[in-house]
Amino acid sequence: MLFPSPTFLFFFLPACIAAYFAVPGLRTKNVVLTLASLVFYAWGEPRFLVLMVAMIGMNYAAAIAIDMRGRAARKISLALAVFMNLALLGIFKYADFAAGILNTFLAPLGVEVPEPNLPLPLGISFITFHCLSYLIDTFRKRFPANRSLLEVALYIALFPQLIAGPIVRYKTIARLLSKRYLSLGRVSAGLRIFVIGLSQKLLLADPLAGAVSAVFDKAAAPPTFEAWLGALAYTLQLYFDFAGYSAMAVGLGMVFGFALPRNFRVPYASRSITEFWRRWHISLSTWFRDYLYIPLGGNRHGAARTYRNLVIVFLLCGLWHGAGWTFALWGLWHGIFLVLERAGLGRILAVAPAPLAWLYAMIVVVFGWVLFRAPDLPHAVAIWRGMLALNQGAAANPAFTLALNAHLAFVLTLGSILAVFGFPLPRGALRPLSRAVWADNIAVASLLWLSVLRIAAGTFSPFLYFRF
Amino acid sequence: MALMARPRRLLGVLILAMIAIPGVIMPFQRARIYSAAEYRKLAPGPGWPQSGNFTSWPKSIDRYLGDHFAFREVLVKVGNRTFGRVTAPGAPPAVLDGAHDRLFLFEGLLASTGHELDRDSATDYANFACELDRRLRPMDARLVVSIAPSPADIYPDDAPDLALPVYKPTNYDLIMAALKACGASAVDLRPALRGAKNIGELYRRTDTHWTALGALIAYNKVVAVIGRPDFAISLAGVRWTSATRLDGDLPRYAGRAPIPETVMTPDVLELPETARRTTLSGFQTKLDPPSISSGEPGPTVLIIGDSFTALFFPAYFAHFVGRVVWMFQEDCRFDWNIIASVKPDLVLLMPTERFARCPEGGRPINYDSRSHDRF
Repeated sequence: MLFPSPTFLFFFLPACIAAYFAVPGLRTKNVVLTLASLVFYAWGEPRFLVLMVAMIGMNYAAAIAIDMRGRAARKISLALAVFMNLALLGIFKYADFAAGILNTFLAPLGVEVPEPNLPLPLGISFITFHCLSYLIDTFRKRFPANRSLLEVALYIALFPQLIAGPIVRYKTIARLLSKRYLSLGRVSAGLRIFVIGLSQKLLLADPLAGAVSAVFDKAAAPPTFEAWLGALAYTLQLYFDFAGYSAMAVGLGMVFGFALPRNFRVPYASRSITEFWRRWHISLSTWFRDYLYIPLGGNRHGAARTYRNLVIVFLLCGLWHGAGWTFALWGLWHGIFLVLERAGLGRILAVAPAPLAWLYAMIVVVFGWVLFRAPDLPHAVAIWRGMLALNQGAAANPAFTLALNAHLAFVLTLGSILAVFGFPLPRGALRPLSRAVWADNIAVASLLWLSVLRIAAGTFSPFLYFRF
Repeated sequence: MALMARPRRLLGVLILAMIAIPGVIMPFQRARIYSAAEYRKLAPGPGWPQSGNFTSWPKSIDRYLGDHFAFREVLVKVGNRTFGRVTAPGAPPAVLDGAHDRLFLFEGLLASTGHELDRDSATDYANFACELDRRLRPMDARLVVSIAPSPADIYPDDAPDLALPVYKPTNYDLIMAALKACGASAVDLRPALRGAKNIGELYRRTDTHWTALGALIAYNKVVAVIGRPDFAISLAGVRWTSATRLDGDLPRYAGRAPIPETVMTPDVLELPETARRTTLSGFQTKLDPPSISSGEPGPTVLIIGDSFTALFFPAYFAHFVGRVVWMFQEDCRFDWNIIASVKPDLVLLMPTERFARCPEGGRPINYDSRSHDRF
């Protein structure tokens, strides 16, 4: 079930909120929210509900086993549980990719490993990382294993963050699973954030999809203007789509009394790639930092080990986003620039004029997104060539020409301002009882109205062959 | 915390009301089964899944709720006016305006003027047709393959600027060349249609389809190529009646008001008095295939196509053959069992240009023992 759909917005969400607040006691509320989360998960592909329930059961038991045993046994339990989680992720997400690599090496022998072509369970990357953080932190004795299966199920399956994060550490919401404060004020504040996220997705990200698709999916060798506009449109589309989903998750979390971590802090205002990763998908970068970079040694064993660790972490970060070479190269691309910044470029950027540093960061990010979005490496190279004005004589793509209109120009302009500068709030605008609050209320209600119209219009499906 | 201050609380109530009203009011509104604006039946209630199959149940509930939430019609209308009718968020408009008041469906438009070329898809489709030819020969059935051209193929001067100039080759060219190379009977309808533009309107200006005249020109070309000039329908002998119609599918698809258009209907669309029309059942197809027996001796013709052929070809053939059966195909998927059942002398495979492809390696159902696909 997608957040911006009639089923979710007009039926599931109101029903879920009503049921949640109608039942007494936090335990019952947890039951309602867990059941709602399982229905939400099963909606996309009912058979994967079995997988979700199995993961909940396995991690619940594994954490208790880790918690109860002596040091050696704890290690074995942790290793086994981590292996099981990663194996599931590997089977569903990376089996085809691995088979493809294997087949490259086996080709001279005339042997071919069949690709299993398994469907990808919804949100499995996020769920796996949730489970790993719970297990590892239990192992590190940051908190005892939770003996309540209901609370563990709620932590893993909580529907607001199930599809697109943020990746919520167990410790972030451990206390809230058994004790949280609910009020109309929090519901209002949460719904406000939800509406802002919804409108980011529907009113800023989605309108850019046509131009992005025209460049990335239809053009063989886009000319310079087309390549740049396509890359910039994707830069904004991805941000508003992802940040929109994250905001919706944070908002819904607040409605139900949870404080989910903020995932984006105006990342396109960054003046270095190091800063970018402190602002972009923060829950993922901190997850990798705490559970991979630091255990690898972090920056404690000299420059060479630090650089190696950075490259490993970002290569895996790339592969976490998708099972393909373009994702691996995208991770590597960022890893290399992080190494360069650590090796001295960062010091130059720190004293460079701010616009110059910002320009450097944006160029690296935008060129990186080309890798991220392109269907394969040759397509990415073709778009890079276009951006570098090397596709001389390339004809404009009609699909792209069609996508160029006043609406696109408006969304690109507004989106660029919001993405780089954030939302400019006048000082004191959020003070209670001030007129600005009412203006803000009206603005948010208007955003919701436009989003509802967009969702409703999306259901319009005229039949082409009525006489048929 | 300012965000939770008292004036804010009203916002929460307002948001909840705005998102809950479409669902809360829905059970109290009059149940609708048809959308006039969309010319389609609305999704029926999902019911309890048959034989415990829950896999597709959520999707049928999604379709039902998406079609029936309260105030949908008003919200859709205002939404379409606010954002413009698009096929998907951010996608190009569904319909484009061409010259001389002619509308064009965007889907397939760029391919029909050579701006989008998919050699793999064209080769795959030609291979599929050649494969059919080889399979039908031992069954004493002759295969003729043709493709109903897109309007921009025949009226390039009316096509929107972005689809021009016309580049060569197009997917149509590639398929025709490959069919000829494998020895299949291929009928390129474009020269005949282009040459007949001065006779009358060959394609409707407000609809995706050709007119009865366009279909008649195409039909005469097909029967000429199969060596049956006696099946041809002389234009001079046809009586036409005209009517102003508002049923063009393109304005509706674009979310616009209906546009009146004069449409000519020939008397040959009426079946001979001796003809008997039935439908065949028991095949895996979206529509039960109509079968027309003329009541006269003659060959059996099986047409495998879509709306372009469905509207005209069975009626035209019915004046000359013993029996004509029409079967719907989509993505090269149709029930192969129909061949054994109908025992045709002639099989006419004739998709619309934009559907002349077999996405994801689509092949007929029951084509071989391994095929268990279902619609």
